[in-house]
Amino acid sequence: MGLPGEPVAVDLTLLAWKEIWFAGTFGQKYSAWKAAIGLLEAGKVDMEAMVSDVLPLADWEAGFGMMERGEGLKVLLEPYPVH
Amino acid sequence: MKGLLKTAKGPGNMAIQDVDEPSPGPGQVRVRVKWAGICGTDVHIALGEYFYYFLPVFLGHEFAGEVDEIGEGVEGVSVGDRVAVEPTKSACGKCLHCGQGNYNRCEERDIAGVVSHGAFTNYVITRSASLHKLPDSVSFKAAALTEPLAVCVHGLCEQCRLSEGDTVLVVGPGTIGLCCAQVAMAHGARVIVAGTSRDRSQLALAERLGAFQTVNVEEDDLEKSVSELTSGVGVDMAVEAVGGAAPSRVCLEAVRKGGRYFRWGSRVSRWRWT
Repeated sequence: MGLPGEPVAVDLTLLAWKEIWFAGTFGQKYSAWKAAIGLLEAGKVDMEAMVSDVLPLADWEAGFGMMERGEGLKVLLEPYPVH
Repeated sequence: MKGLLKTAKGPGNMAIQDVDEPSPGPGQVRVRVKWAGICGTDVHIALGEYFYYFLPVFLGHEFAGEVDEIGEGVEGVSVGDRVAVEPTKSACGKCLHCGQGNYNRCEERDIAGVVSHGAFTNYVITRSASLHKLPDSVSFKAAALTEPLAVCVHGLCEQCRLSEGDTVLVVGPGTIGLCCAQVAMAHGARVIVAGTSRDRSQLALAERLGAFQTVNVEEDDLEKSVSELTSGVGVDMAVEAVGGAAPSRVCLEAVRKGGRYFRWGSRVSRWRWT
């Protein structure tokens, strides 16, 4: 996903001078998901280490507030109990 | 079921609301959400800053759970399957991009938590093709981060041809930056992670995860570090995972001739660095 905001002024002359390859990205697709699951299965990445906080969905405002203030890293929300 | 609904454009307009539990149609499944991650995109939608979302919508597109109901005609999926779920609920299947497997570029794509109801609730209805069964060793909490991990795999490996032995500079140690660092390390790259003083704990985490070097740009000389580590040549790949002009300049200067510069679709974010 991309982020919003004001356009940024950057001198791209270096792209030419240094023959830099410039790539963008948006979202993901099946091939990337398959590879991601492979990395998880092989234990080559640690996603749980990136979870800083877990909260019930009822406390969503606290979780969004943390993200907005740049506190913690990944906040997970747990849905309301199913009856 | 209760979910976190964005009810109108603009800042705020968020509320927990009750809706009827949905049922899967033909070719669809119902996933019972276990955990769902808050992404920067969710925060930007909440603040009314994001440029693309539909209303009303339950937010949340990073999630894992269990298959709970199966629609007509779905094969290869069982109730109780543990799954990570792509946010893509459907794509047109007819355009140039869909034809090439690049449905992330499809103009008609339905995206959970952006175009239609997402995962900050109990159940999500989606196409069976968007499910990825989880190995037993992978927890639901870890699996809830498969989406940002896949985003980074797509960016680094598919868009930017990450290679074993690359020296990769990651600027911005948030979730995406640290996922990129982990993907790069998993592929045998040497990774430098750069951040600011407010990123101290994330830089420490990057070290624990195996980063070759971390640099606080407010205290250390990143240019010198890059030069020393690459014999003055520059890094093979610079990954910019933070908004603002300064990180773009840092990346363009750090990358070697013929190197790769990879950037998210960000302009200026609240993680401003000047």
